[in-house]
Amino acid sequence: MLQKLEKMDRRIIYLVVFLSLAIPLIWPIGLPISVGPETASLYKFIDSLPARTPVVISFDTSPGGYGELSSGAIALLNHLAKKDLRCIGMGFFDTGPSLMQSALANSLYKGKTYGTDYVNLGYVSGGENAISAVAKDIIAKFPKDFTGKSTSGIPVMQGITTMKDVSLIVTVSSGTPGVAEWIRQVGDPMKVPMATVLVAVNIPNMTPYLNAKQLYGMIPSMKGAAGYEALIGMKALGTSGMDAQSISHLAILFFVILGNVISYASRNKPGSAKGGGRQ
Amino acid sequence: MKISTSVGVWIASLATLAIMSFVYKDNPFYRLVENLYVGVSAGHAIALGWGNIRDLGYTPMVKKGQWSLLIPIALGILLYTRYYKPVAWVSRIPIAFMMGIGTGLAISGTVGSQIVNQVKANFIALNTFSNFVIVLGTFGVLSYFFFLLEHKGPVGVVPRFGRYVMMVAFGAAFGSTVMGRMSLFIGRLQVILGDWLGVLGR
Amino acid sequence: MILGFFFTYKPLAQASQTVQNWGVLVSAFALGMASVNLIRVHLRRISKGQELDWLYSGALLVALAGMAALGIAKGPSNKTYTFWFDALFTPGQATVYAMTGFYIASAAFRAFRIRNIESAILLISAAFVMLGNVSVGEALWKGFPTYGKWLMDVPNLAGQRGMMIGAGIGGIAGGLRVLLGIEKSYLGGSGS
Repeated sequence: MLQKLEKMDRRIIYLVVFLSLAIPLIWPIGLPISVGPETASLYKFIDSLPARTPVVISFDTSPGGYGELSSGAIALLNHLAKKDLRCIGMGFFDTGPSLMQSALANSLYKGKTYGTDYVNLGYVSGGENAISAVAKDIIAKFPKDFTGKSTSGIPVMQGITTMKDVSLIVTVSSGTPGVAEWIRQVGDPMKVPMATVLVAVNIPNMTPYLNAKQLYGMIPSMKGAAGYEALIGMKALGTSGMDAQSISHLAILFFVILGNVISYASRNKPGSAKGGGRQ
Repeated sequence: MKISTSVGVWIASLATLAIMSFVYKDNPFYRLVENLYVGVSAGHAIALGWGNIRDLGYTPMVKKGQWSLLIPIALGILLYTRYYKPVAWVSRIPIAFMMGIGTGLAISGTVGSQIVNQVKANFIALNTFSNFVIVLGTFGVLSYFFFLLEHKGPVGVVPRFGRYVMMVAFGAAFGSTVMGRMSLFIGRLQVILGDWLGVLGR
Repeated sequence: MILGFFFTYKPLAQASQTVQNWGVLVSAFALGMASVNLIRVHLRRISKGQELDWLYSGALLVALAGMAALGIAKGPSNKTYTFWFDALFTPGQATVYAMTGFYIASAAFRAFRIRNIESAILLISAAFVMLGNVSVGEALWKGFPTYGKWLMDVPNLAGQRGMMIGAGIGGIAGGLRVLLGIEKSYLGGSGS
């Protein structure tokens, strides 16, 4: 029996994980959503900004990471739109601006005026170097926006030359260049408040920046998105995914514990060789 | 159940299922969709690279007379000499140029944000257990990587504590990784079950 | 660029800005290099004509050429371009990354073994973070989110900060080696 379990076809594990994700999505349990302090602090900061304040949103993510970030990014855009803030979009991943178009089309900015209320400036190559270059003169690096129109005299960019002229920068980040590069090149040297919508993998890496107040807040993965949706009163995909997240975590922990129980039981079986691994 | 009638949603959902089919077995549909999306991704990179060259290189050079931009354009073209063996060494020039920029940026940025600000933030009053763990833990992790003295006896106490602190950090990283991967999969299932099949609960 | 950090001399700042702008342009050329590699590899596969490889490689090259041509001619915000980006690229890459969820479950079952105190700390920390971040954890025991948060904000912070400072110092040392010509591995040669 133990040997059978130990040699279990990995596709059974895949099936259990799949069902633990799919079933709660189809039949939600309705578990309560909690809001993390870093998400609440970002919400409070944005809520305190006066109307027409410029905010830079940088989509530094590939489609691979966007699956996790889309709900948080859209919730953030909805909040900015509700507060009538100017949204200046850009990207330092080649896929970023295209994903931003998709996010804008699914947010309250859809009903606002392009060029006056929001803009997608597009992509600049070069990673950290590009971030540093753009920070010093934004329009010079984006002579045309993502749609191909000239950015000269565009109303949404009125009064903005460098990143020092914006009130908040949020990077929707799943890799490099990401939060660390933005903080190194813009947040710290130019003293511009920074925040992030971030993939879960990078959450532990952000705690030093949050603790040192180099980051004002963050929307971490789908959990942060669910919390942010609750704060802005617009429940959407982030909220609907949390039940599945809960059950899947239980499934993973079950497999870890099962693996250890089987391993321990096999080692202690009479006649089996003990050892393996450091004590 | 409300099945979508959008062609885009159907293609996206079938592509998703084709890639997912790999967990059962490698198959032609998976291979086809994988190659298609890699092709689209590479074409996208070319399109955007071209846009940058045109807007930041060609247009300012030709229409605004910024002829000094010939230098970076030449450097960029020289990158492609690596595909021709007799002159492949020439591609080292633009690579070295890019490395120099990256190194200069990294050094000037890292000192401030990664070292000075983090060390400053670590100077906290040792009046709570948590603060004590933070300060001692940070020293412990740093001392773990100092190999001047062997980590044995009294000298090994702080590095060993640092090792345990790092294990907590790695455990947090594993937990966060699981959270992230599950969120990614939920995102995909929301497209299939929601946008395509219309069976999402809420 | 480093000198510009120390001296507020305008010509130096302008030179630094010029070098940065040039770097952006050179990076734009670098974007095409991965595609050139792909084209070379897949043309070779088509010429070999093994099994169905030629079909897959052909599909890749058609998709590459199509997207590149459309993007250059009409721009990346074009409707058709966006359609194929959203229909093929986004779901394709997102699913490939999403599948790692399955592999992490399988790896956790097969490889995650508590053999000593370090691995026990790792597992306990992971369990608290996983359960502390989801609603079911809070429903099971209020301690999961409380202690999970403490683990993230205290020992994890200490560990990450130590590694960040160490990596920063290491990065500067590595950068100095590059600038002094001691490190040449990025050029494809030996480091000596």
